[in-house]
Amino acid sequence: MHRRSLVVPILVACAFVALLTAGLFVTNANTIDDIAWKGDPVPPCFVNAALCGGHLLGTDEVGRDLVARIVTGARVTLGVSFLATLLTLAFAAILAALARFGGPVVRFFVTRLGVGVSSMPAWLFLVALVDVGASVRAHMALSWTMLAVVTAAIFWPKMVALLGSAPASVPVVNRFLRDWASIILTLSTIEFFGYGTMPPNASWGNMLSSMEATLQTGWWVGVFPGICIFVTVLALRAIARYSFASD
Amino acid sequence: MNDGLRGALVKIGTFVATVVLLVLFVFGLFRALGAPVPVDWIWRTLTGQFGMSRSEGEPVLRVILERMPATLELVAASIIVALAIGLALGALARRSPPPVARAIDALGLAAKSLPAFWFVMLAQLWVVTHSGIPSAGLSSTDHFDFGDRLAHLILPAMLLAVVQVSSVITWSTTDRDPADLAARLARKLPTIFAVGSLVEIFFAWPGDGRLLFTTLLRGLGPLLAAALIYAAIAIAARTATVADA
Repeated sequence: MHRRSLVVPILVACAFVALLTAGLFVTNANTIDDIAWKGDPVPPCFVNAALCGGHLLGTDEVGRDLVARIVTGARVTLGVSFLATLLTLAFAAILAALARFGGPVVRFFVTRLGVGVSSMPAWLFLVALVDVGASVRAHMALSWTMLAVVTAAIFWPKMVALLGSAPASVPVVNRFLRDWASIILTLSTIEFFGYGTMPPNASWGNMLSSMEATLQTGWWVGVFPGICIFVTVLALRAIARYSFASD
Repeated sequence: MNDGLRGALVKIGTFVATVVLLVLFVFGLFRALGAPVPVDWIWRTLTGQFGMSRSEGEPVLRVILERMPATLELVAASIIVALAIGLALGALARRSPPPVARAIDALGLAAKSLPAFWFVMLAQLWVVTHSGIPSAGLSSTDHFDFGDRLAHLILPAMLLAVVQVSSVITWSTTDRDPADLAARLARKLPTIFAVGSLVEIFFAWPGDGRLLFTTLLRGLGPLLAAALIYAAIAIAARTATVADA
C-alpha cells in the first residue's frame, strides 16, 4: 500500500541537523531587547513591520527574540528527546535479551512489567520522577542526561514488545520514530508545567508556560513554539507511518 | 473447573502480578533517584493506604475515589464522541478513492500529534472569549439539569476525543473485529487519562486530573496515588480485552 521513499525522512533529518547546528551560533536567546520592548511582547514583522524592530517572529513578554529562543529550545526539545529515545532503545534491548534468554519466568515478568509501566499516564509519572529527583538534589533541576535517563526509564515497554519477537530494521525504525514523537510531547507537557528544563534556558515546552497570560497582548508568544512541537511530532509520525510502515 | 472460570482467575492473577510489578518498579525508580522511600511504602500502596491529603484533611484514597465519577464521565463521553467521529470518518475512507482515504488517515495522525496541553488551552481560551458554551466546571446549577450538564460536557469530551480518533479510524479501515476495537481502546486508556487530566485542568473539571493539579505542588503522594489508580484501571482493561496480554 505504501511506497517507501526516503526523500522526506532525509529532508526532515537535514532540517533537524540545521536547527541543532544553528543553535550553536545563537547567543541572544536570553537577551532582552531594551530598544524595541516597551512592556508588551514585540509583534512579529509580518504583523507590524514598523514595530517589530528586526524580530522576525516578535519577542516574548520580557522582550527576548522568539526565533533565537525557538532555535536554542530545539536543542532541548529535539536533542534531549532524541537522547532519551536512544536510551529507550538501549534499555529495551537489554530487557528483551533478558526475556529471550532468561526462561519463561523472566519473560513473564518483563512482559507484565512492560504492560504495567506503559499503563501509567506518562506525563504524570514523569512529573513525579523529575520532582523527586530534583528535591533529592536540593531542588536543583535534573541535568539533561538525567532527564533523558528518567524519561527512557518509563518509555521502554513498546520497544521491548517489538524486540521480543524477531526484530527487523524497518519495524524498529518505525517504533523509534513513534517513541521519539511521544517523548517530545511528554517532555513538552512537563516543561509547560515548570519541570525539566529551567528558565532562563528555553525549550519549546517551557516557552509556552506564559501563554495564558500573554494571549491577549501577544498571541505569537503562545502560538509559534506550539506549532514547532506539532509540526515536529507530526513529521516523525508521518515518516514512521508512510516511509517506514511496519505492516 | 470450567474454562470460563479458569480463564477469569488467570486474568485476575495476571492483573495482580502486573500491578505488584509496577509498584515495585516505581519504588525501585524512586530509590535509584535517591529518594528515601521506606520499604513498607510498597505494602501501603498496594493496599490503598496513600496517607492523608494535606489540603482536604481526608485520606487520599477517599478524595480520589470521590472525584472518580467526574473523571469517568468525561472519559466515557469522550470515547463515545471518538467512536462516532472515527467510525464515520472510517466509513467515509472505505468508500472513497485512495487520495481521500489517505487524507482521512493523515487527519487522524495530525489530530493525535497536537500537543494536548497547548490546543486544549487555546480551545478553552477561545471558547471563553468567543462563544456562549460554558467554559468551565461540571454544571452551573446545584440541582441536576441534563441539558446544563451536557452543555458543560460536550466540549471537553470532544477535545479528549481528538487523541483517540486515529485509533478508531485505523480499526475501521483495517480489521473491523469488535474484540480488537475494545483492545485498541484499552491500550489507549493511559493516553486518554493523561490527556484527560489536562482537559480537567484547563476546564476546571472537578475530577482527579484537576485534583492532581491542585496537589501537584503539595507533595507527591496524591499525584502518584492517582497515577497508579489510573494505571490499575488501564491494566485491568488491557488484561480483560487482550487475549495474551
